[in-house]
Amino acid sequence: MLLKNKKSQDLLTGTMMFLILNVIFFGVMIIFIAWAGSGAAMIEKKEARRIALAIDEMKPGTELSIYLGDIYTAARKNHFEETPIIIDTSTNTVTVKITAGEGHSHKYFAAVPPGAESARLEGELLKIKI
Amino acid sequence: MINLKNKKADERYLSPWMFLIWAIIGVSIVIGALIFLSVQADTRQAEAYVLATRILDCASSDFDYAALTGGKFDFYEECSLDKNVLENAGIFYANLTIGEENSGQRLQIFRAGANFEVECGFQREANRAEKGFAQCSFKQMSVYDAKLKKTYVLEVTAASSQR
Repeated sequence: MLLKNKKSQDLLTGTMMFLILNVIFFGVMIIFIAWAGSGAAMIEKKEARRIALAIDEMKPGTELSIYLGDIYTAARKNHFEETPIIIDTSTNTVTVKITAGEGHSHKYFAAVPPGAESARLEGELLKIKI
Repeated sequence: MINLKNKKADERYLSPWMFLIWAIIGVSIVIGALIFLSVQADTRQAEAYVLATRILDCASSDFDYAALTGGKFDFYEECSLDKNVLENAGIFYANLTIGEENSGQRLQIFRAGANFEVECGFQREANRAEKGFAQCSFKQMSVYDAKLKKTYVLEVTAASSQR
């Protein structure tokens, strides 16, 4: 019996390799997209903007409490021990850092008076008073 | 007869091109995902809206035309706005005008920040937001002055370009 023509085996191997490479490629893409969406940089950006917007929406004479549990959890996951939120009332900036990088800063336009009483952390609660 | 001996169209010669195409597709997906996620975190429109609302609420509260147009009304103090950030950061803009209800004339009573007037004007006329421009918010309110017994229109334009 002639077994010279082995094209069916080559075709199967080639197709299998192609499918496996495709699965690996798209798997890597999906993992990357999931990582980018939940990554530290995105969390820092979103949380800094969320807090700055909340401060901007405050009416004069009000006090705002923001629960920062998610930010602290994310910081612990990244083994970041420092305070993840910094409110600088001299430059009107909210900085969120959950890794040992620069974090993300965002400015707010509401006039928060300087001093510890205006912006302070009580455990995982951020309290702002204007 | 055509010489068919030299057949280099084998899979092993096509695979570098295949990987190149996959690399192009992969990079495109990465860039697309990053752009999409950046848009998700864009709060410029919300900031402009909040700034416009804050100024309008502040100006219309206990409305007094004479006080607003007299030059002594400190918008930064009364509306709890930080002057340094609005004036010097270059990322916010606010403009407040007032005029009688049935009059087309408007008097500017407050202006602060970077000059996004042209960008806001363009977007207002085109009735669409331009992604590369500052994002603007336009608000208008009719207010009644009990002392003068007249109705006025307050118009505010606010913008944010903070990314």
